[in-house]
Amino acid sequence: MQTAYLKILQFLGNSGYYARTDGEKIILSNLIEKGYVQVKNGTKNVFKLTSEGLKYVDRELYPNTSITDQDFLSCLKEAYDSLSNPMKPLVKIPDIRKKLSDKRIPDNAFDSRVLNLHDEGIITLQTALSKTHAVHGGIESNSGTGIFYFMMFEA
Amino acid sequence: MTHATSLRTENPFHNYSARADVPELFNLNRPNKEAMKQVIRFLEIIQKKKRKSVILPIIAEAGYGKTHLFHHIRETISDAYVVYIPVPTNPNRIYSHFYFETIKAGGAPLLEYIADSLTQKYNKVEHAAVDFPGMGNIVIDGFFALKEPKQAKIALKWLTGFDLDEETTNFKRTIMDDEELAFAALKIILKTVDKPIVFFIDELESLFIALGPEAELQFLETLKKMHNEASNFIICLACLATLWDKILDLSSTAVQGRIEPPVVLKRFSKNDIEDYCCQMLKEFHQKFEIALLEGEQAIWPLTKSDIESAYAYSHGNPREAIKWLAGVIEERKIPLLKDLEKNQTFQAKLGKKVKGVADKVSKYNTGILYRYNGTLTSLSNPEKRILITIPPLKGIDTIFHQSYWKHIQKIASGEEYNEIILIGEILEPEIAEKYTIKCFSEKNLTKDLGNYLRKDQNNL
Repeated sequence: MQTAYLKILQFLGNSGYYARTDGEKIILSNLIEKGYVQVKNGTKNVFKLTSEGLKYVDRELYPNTSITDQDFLSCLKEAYDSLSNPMKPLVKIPDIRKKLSDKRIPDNAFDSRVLNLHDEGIITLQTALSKTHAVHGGIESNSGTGIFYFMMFEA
Repeated sequence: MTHATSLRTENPFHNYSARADVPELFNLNRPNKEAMKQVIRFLEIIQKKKRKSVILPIIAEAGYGKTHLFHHIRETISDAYVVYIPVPTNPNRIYSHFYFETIKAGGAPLLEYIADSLTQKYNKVEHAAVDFPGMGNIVIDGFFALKEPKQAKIALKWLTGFDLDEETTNFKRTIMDDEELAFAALKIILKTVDKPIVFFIDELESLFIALGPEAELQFLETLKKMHNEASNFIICLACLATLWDKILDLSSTAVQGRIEPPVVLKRFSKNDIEDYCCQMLKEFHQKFEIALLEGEQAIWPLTKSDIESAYAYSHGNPREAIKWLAGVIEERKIPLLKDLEKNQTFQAKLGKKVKGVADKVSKYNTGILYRYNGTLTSLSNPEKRILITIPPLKGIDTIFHQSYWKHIQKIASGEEYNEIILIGEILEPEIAEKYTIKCFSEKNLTKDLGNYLRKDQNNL
């Protein structure tokens, strides 16, 4: 449902979409929390995409399916290196996602590749303190042990 | 209570959560190797007086072994005292918390040692006055009093936190309520002890979660003061990895500048899980009366696929992996305990028959032992020793049979017995051939075994 609204918002561009029902407002508020949508200036109920939302729609609608595992790993490492420092070796997954948004890797593909790298022991994912601490952009652990929200490369 | 009943509560993986007051049974080196290396390196630096103190964060997700690391440091490092510091519940009483936890860890011998060292070095309390001015003098007084027979008892009470207002006029201030005094006492201990102290602060994030950022900030500022003014220690800050960023961000740059880059504890690999299981299951095997197992059997009743599943489920989080394995063991135990119960009934019934026959043969002394889930009846007299053995019940888990036969093979290859008689069927024919083990079937046991033993007795 959210993706459908994002597509409509992309189509409408700067003119934005007027939310009529409470249901629509809830969906769009949720997208605001994720950083994909914003309220158009000077209005109360007209919504339009943020630059982050545009990138999201772009990667979901026109995904880059040709990226190899090796290329993905290099991109991931590059993004990690640019965001981490010795005092903060763990980097938030949503930040990495943002950093790689121009690569147009769909979220599902990103999640499964990152989980594979974790299982192979190349990177380490760490869960957020609780589900409420992992607001958006984490990776749901397939075993139900929590939401992976941080990552680091294994030393 | 039967053997099988007593095993119902046995599970080597029950303690999947480490506690500071319960020693850990086993350490896997790989996940905390880097942390240990850093602690040892900084201890060397402090011992060589290159630095006075170090604050080393150790970060990891919940269940990665932070509390376990404390036990490992305490058991492995002999060049330092290791003190566990639970996060204080009151951010206004941090030095007294450090002081009392140090006294708790070192006990009376620590106080005695400090008092001895101070009295030997300074002889009179006045001589120490210049080295420990201000609050330090009050504490020095206490340590000197500990060596005075008339005052020792009251000094010990004062040094351990009693409020002595009503007992004496000598000790006006109490360490419990006076942070300045507690800090002075802590500094004196640190300056006088023969080895550096490793303060292991566990769950650094607790203050942040329970009392908010201000309490955490206050705590970190207190550590900074300690880092600046006291010496001869390492503070290990064990913290949840996912809150480390927040804690670091809220601390001042002056605090940040004094903290070393954090060490991250590693998760378990599949091999780590297997090694851990091998080690932890040894005692479990003994309790099930199973001989030492090797190769893939070393993880019995688990299998390689259980290890794979534990890894897949936990993503290498040690606590989650161990918890998962605890569940598997509970499931596997049910049929095993049923097997053992059946076997016990079988052994008891047949054992009774064997004993009945043996007792009738008057020239032998009889002794019965239940070993490796089989019964061993020993008949002995000055001329001869015979072992009559009943193997585990057919159809129960093969591991019990393998283990029993290993034991019989060991007995047969020794010279303890002149003859071995087996009741039932030989499942390992080559052993029977090699060691000439005589067999009697369960059918007509009383008659056949009785005749044989009587005949044997007459030949003696």
